[in-house]
Amino acid sequence: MIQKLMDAFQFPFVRYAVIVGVLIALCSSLLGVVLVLKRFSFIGDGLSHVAFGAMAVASVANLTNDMILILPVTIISAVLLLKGGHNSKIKGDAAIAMISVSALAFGYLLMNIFSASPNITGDVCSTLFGSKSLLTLTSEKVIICYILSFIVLIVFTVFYNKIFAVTFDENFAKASGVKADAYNLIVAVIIAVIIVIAMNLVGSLLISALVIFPALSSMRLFNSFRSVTICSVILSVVCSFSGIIISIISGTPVGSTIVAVQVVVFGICSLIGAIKK
Amino acid sequence: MRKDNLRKNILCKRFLSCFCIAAMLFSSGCGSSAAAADRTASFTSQNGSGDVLADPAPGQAASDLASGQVAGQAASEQETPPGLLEDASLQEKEADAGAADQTLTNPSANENSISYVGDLSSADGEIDVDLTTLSSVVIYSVVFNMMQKPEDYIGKKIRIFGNYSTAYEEQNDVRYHACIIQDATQCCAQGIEFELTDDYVFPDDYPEVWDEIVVVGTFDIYKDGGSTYCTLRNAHLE
Repeated sequence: MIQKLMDAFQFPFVRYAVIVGVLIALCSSLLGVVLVLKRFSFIGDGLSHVAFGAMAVASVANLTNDMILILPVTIISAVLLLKGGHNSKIKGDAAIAMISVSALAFGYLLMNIFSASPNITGDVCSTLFGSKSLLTLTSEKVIICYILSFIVLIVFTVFYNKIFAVTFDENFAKASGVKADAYNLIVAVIIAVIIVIAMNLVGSLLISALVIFPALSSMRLFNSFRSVTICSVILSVVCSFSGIIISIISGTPVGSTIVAVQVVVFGICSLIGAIKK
Repeated sequence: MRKDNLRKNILCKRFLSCFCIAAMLFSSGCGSSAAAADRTASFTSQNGSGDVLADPAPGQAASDLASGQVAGQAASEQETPPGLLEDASLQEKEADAGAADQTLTNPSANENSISYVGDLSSADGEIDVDLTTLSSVVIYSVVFNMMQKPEDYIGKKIRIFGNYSTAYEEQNDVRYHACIIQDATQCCAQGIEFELTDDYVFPDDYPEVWDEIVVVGTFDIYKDGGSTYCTLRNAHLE
């Protein structure tokens, strides 16, 4: 088993995949706490479906780098969903569901009608479940993931206090003079960026797990925002790393394995939380 | 005054945090060239030594590589690998054309349009990349990487495990043989074409379609009709 792992790690793209996976898990867990507290847990799912639709359009249009289309479209959708939640006629969860299924349906329809690949089912399966996407990242995508993860970490670190204020009590933050709309916009953009890069790790359908489970597991153990955030990051990184290693050794799909590990960790944290009470 | 100091303090802490994060990211290899590091992508299984794929095979002209073509052909991870044609749909033709295939069993016999890039004279007996010791996920990824960056593997001895597939091209009267590797979910497949030595005669010495095989051969690319394909030359079955 150890030998198999050492043999796999001799390949640089496997090492890059592990590093990218850990970075993605780190970024997603940071925003996961914010989303869970704002009751926008399913926005990851919705935006990932939008990203899938954009990816379908990009593949039909034969774009060399599909990030050119996926990233802006997902960011715009995130902004519309998060900023339009309060005063819009269609409220949060309904808006997410509407945009999510529409994008998924149109994406799959376009891929079938204007098929640019000999294996549409494989393309769709790989994108939805992230079976091997992480280990087949091109050099350009690895660099893009590095840069975007770095940007997300910097932004979250710099604006930590403001994000905290906007998360817990937006009205009070506005009354205090905090530009809540601007920080909501920043959060929306960061979420979109994380969703796009996280699709390479766990696929479109399982992104919500990457965002939600670390936050929920941490909330079983700690009560303060800082403690929950730090614990969420640690749990997410550990689960992601373990999932990738298990996947490399046993040959299981990367995304599903990571989520399975997160579910187990959630169960353990719930048990510990129940015992603590 | 106190608020200003507090603000400066917070900004300093933020700056330090960002600097630490940046240092961590760059030390993890973010700043290094991924392309350059990919050149050391091989290893020997026998002695467990580190990367041995340091230099391309002698005689290789990097400018000859139609990297755009190969990369373009393998750009989609689901794309039919270069040199590998459909298998199941051509099984009927295979049965009909069995007698005609005796004389032309591999594309190297079609010398008019094929030109290999690698030089096999330098290949030694040791296995450089042994995919039989890896899980299906990593095997698929390695083969995908081979299609993406074939220049990193030219001249290296590869051992690969997968399912046998064959396809016959009527136009050039050429039969292609390939080893197919499926990913973990079995929804996607990659393949590497191989050319067995002249000791093997089709169909008697070849396996049945979709039989599990272990193939050992020297990785090379060749150009046929303006397109570039990957193959394992001088291959044998274990």
